[in-house]
Amino acid sequence: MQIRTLETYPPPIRIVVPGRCYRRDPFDASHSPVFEQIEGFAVDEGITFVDFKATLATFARRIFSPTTKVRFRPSYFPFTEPSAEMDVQCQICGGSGCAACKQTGWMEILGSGMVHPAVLENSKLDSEKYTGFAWGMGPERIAMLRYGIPDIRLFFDSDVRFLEQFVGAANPGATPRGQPNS
Amino acid sequence: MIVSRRWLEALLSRPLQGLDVADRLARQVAPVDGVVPIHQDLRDVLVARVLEVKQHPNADRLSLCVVDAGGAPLEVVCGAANVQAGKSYPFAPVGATLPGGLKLERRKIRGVESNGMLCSAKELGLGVDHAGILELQTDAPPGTPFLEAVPIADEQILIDVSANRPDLLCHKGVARELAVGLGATVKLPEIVGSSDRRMVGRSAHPSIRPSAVVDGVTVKLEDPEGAPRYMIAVIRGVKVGASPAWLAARLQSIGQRSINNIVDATNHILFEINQPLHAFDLAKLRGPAVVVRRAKPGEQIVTLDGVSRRLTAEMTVICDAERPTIVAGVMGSAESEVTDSTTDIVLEAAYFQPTRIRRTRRALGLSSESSYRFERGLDMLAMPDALGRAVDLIRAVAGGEMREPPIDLWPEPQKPRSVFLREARVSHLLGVPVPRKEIERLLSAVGFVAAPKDDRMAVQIPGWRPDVTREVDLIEEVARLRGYDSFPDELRPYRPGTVPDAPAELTLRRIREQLVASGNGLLEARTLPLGPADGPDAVAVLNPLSAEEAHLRSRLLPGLIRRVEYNWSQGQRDVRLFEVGTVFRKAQGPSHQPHEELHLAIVLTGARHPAHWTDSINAAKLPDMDIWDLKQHFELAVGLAAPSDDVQPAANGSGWVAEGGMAVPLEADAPKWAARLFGLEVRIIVAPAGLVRYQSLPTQPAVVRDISLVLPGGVTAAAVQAVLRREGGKLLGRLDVLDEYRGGGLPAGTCSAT
Repeated sequence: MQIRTLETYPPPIRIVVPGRCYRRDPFDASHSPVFEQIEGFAVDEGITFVDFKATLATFARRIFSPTTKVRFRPSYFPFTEPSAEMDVQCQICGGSGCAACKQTGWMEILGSGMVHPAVLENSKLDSEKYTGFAWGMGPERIAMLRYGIPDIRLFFDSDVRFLEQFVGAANPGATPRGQPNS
Repeated sequence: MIVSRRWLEALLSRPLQGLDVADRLARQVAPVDGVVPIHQDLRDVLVARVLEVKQHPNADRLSLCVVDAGGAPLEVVCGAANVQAGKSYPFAPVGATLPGGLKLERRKIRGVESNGMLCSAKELGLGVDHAGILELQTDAPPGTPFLEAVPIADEQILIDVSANRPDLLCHKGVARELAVGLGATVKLPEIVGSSDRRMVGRSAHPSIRPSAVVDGVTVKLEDPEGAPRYMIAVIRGVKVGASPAWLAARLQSIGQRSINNIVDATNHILFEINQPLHAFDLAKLRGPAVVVRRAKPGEQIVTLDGVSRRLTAEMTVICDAERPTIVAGVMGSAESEVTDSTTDIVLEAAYFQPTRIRRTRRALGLSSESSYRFERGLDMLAMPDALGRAVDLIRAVAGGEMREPPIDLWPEPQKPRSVFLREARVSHLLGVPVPRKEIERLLSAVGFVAAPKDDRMAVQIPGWRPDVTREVDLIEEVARLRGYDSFPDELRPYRPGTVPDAPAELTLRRIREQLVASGNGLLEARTLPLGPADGPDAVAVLNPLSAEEAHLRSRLLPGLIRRVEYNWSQGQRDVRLFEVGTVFRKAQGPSHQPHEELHLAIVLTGARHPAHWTDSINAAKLPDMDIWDLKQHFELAVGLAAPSDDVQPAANGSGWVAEGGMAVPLEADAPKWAARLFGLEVRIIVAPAGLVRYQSLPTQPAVVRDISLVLPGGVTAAAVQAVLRREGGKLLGRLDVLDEYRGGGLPAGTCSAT
């Protein structure tokens, strides 16, 4: 996805791409053989770690609530450097520590990082000039945390009593449509 | 990687809190999967002092003790011969649960009530010694929890070490990272009891020759590609036996089994400083020789797990004068294993080529703690120190003597690598200025050595960091050691991107929104795109989970029907679902990729609308949706998905069709109380909605005309509508079919439509 975009369009690039993923995992409460993945990608001159943190933190505060605390932790992904995982304050205990967050007060929602210069170089971009960031996340997992849904299978049952609960579901962090998302 | 909190404390010479360690590691180093206290099954056990020991009145072998466990003195029956007044023992009071789940109750033993139990090491799961109760050397007052009084309480910290950080696969590496934030230094504990003359200190110089002799053992390195550096020490006169308690406890604290003092010592070094070692029995070594070479194709070896394995030329083996004894870096053979009768050992420390080990491990389906580390890359420069420490530890726990310095075969010696780092590049990528002094401070804290070189820094990479090869790797080090939290998250100006929104996504979003907003009570379903074959050109999945999920869908309706059946099984009668998504068909023509198409499908069953108080109370039930509701939904769907398509009655008289779709009554596995089920499916033409243009309002009021026509059989209302639309042109604002009449007053075979 990132490579195709880099080959097709010149910077500045700012994209969000949803897609369906398949893996050979039987269903259980937290795994599904089919799930959605949303990737995002920004490349331009002068994009920094601060822009990266700000963009994803803003996203998290809009999805969860304006006062939700977020943190970034070091991680490893081959296509980003520095790499990070983003946690939000545990939505069950509010951060004081519980079984769901393994007493840490945090829940991981996405993997991310600054685009590795080799990715840019492979797409014939000057990695001295251009920088960027990228992330990937599972909307099911985020919805489960956001709405307190205990089992990923509920998304695929299509039980009308489940679906009706989300008709016009309010999103406290959301801005009205039409306002620019930064 | 499991690390022990106590082990880290020993390296950092300071007390630590498990959760605090986890938090520091998570923020600075690597994800932490959890902190697990060990010995939690001993939390009920207390320290008790025996005040008085009396003979049990009814049993010769039992004694009756008066015990102070923090409260009023208790009478406890004890069967151990070693119980003495004035000493302290672990005590399980009534109500306590012991390892294995035994719950203590107050009960009479030979007619005398016992209020608890004085415990042996075995009863506490701490050892095999069942000879008597465990005497405690402690000043802790009676009643103190046992876990607080003795140094066995520990926590395992589960670190999710990524493939690029082999340095974190040992306690020293983790301690090195913790030391940065704690302002501590890492110091390996002295090995108590080792000889004062450290042979390795004046160890052999690395040899670029491919073979050497150490203490009568010939060592040949014939595969320097597979084993770039290879060291052997010979220790004679060891006494193989049980490990001392501290060593066994250390390994148990990270979930490793204690085997014998030699194996435990090598494992201790592995988990302490990350150097895998292999000890084998010199007496079983033909030659005696150690030969490192590529395996011959088809060569066989029986590995420690008792399985005979065929080797390939892609693997490195360690052989004696005749045959292979070890699959290099992966597993040894039962033959060469150290046993209780072993007296002389050959101790190997090696650096094996990571990709070679990975392939070997995969080919043999065999993985070990050593192979796991070799294939991630070890610190080639630290091998002499590691082997030296291993020799010290073995001599401390098993005795023996090393008569000659180890040999060190290193045909192509390597020097530490350097990577250049520009201060300006750090702030360019991180977005805030980080002064050179701070960069140097952070990097040197974890072993990098930064020196100025022109206008940049030349940073020497420590041997344990094979992952750091580019400038950006060092910038990441600066970012994480400074702390990701220390960077602001303020939104700064940005330029909009050049990539347009995807037409397919825009089309799907418009269709979804309009269906939900249509007021028909439609809910969006998400079905699995996998199922049984639903048509002749369904695409088969190569490696399906089950026969029920062996094909990609070529239509949406079958999946939606299964969802209706699921809702029926949940007692839901009114179900209106839609789905938009991709369907797949076998490739036509030269393409190997399946053909993909976007479809929209709707299923309808149940009441047409919810009950309302104006409905007649006499009505038997609310009207259910019928074929005309299907038509209305079909027109809605076609209008959204393929606006240029015409809706026509189906040729067979059942339902409707359009160019890319159809709407029909459906058969399903329905309960008796269910209403009829209807379904429709349309392929979606990707065309995002254009901008709405304002039309000037009519200056004249609209005129309403009722037109009733008697139609001969075979002429449909739809056909009449088409004529009226064509002739009416722009003047026609709206056209509805309101009524149909057949019967009295009309010629047979005709009907009246209004």
